[in-house]
Amino acid sequence: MGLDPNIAEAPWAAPYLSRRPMDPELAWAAQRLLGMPHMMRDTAAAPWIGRASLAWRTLPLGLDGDSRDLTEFVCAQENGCRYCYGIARTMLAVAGFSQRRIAALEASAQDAEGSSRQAAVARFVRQLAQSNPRPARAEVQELLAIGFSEREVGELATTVFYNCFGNRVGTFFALPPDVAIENLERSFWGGLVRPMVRRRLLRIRRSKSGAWSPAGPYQAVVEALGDTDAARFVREVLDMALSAPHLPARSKHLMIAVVARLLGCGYCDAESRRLAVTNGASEQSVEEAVATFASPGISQVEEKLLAFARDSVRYQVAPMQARAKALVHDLGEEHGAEAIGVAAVANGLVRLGMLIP
Amino acid sequence: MSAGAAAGLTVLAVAAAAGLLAALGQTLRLRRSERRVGAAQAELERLQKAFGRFVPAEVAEDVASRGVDRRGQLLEVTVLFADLQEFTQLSEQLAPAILVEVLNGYFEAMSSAISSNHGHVGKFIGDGLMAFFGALEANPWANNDAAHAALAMRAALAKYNETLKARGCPSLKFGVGIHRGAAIAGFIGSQELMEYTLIGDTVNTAARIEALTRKHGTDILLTQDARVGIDARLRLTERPPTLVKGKREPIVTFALEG
Repeated sequence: MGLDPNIAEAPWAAPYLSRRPMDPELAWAAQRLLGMPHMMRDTAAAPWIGRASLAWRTLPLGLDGDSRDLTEFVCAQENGCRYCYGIARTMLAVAGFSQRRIAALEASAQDAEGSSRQAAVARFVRQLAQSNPRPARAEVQELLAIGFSEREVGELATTVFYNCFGNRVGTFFALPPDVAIENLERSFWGGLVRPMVRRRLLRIRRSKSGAWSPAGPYQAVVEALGDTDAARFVREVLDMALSAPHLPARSKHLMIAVVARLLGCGYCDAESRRLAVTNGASEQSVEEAVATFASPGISQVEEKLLAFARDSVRYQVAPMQARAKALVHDLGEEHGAEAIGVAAVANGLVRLGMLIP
Repeated sequence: MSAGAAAGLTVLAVAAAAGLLAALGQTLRLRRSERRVGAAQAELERLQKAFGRFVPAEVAEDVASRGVDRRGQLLEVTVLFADLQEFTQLSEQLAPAILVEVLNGYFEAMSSAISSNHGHVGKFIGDGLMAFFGALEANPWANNDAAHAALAMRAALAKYNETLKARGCPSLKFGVGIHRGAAIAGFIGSQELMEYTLIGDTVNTAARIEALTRKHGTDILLTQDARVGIDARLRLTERPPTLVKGKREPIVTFALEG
């Protein structure tokens, strides 16, 4: 997975989900955003995925824009997402990164170029996206030592959370590269309008008003972000994924348990197993399922979902796209798309779990 | 129009023209640079593909990003050894070109069974191979994966034998030994020739267990350490404790029936 120096030319499957009418709210937002239409339009079989994407695009962060753009680019590269990579690369150019600097980042030479702050961001983000092993407090200390606040580190990790989700959605659904957006970087006219695009993208970011609570499944992960817009966003995405209508809640928690076991997140492992039991699975079947992907207490569909969740953590792009397509074929579009979305959220959640003290 | 306004318009026009020229210049530079980068990337991709044949993809990625790290790493891994039985007789029956073709077909089928169960083939040793589970990334299911890989290898061999039979070639038989324990992983060799491999007692024991398959009249054997955490649906039959070279105590093994 990741680090393909030639990601723009790497094999990429054809999209396979059928086109459906897009949710009007999303259609309106996609136009205003000047971007991400495929993420919203082509995932209509699981509309919450588009809504999560919209919530991300409109999320204000205290983190500086360069770090956010850089994080999106590094994640897209690490997760081998051609779709997100094209957009993230364009956004770096829009933000004023030189072609030389972008090329250096592409070649993983981030230590040799740019400010020490950017290099540290790129290093941390790579480690967290790869999670082999998942970074620990020492890596956070390194960021704090060069001037990042705890809140900014939380926002960086939230950016990785979203992108580990979004990159998997883009890759597993084989979303087609967004040529209109990529042309902002490549074309002559795109070069002229870049500053306006940047301003417009920044203007749509707004804090949400109204009361909210971190309470709910995986609460400790949300609480680790404090009372912030980022925490509210993570709560929102988790609730969207867990309340999506097609798969039983216990299946989703079992999928998260598998990802947590593989990435070594003690909290997510225990919490997901607890929630699977709360949602109707027996303790024995949960233990067996997470230990061996099989148990008399789980269905054949759940066995498939667990195996898929496992493979969603580290993958080679082309075989994984074939695997995701087969899953959608087996389960049907709504169920398959929801399963892929949940696996993608699980990958973000368990990485974000590193923030729990 | 006043002279001041005319001057202002001129400045604006010059600034706009300069902006246009700068943007045009940048676009041209980008396109030139993209052509050069494209050629370099094609060459890099060719090299990576070639490199990928000699080491697992994860190792290739690691080397590409961080270079060759010659320090060893002590890891807890599951090691699988497979060896063809009665290969000497086979090599006497077949012409060299056919023998190599048969062997390559066999390795292809075995490698596919291993990689589809999250294992990595570390090396081919004559007619044998060594694979490992959990060496390149954390894998809490390494034993389960190795057991399922061995079953997939058995099925793949049966299928391959049908192909061989249709071509008038003799069938192949293999033995597989699986053991779990600590091993040292790293690049081993000289500056001129090195390979990513595992060494240590765990590797040697896995090889000894493979050799025991002949003695116990079975094709897949696991040690006690390798059966921990495997799928409860798999059927295992305990074999009598047997002394193997390099061990003071006899080793209990389990035949994997299916």
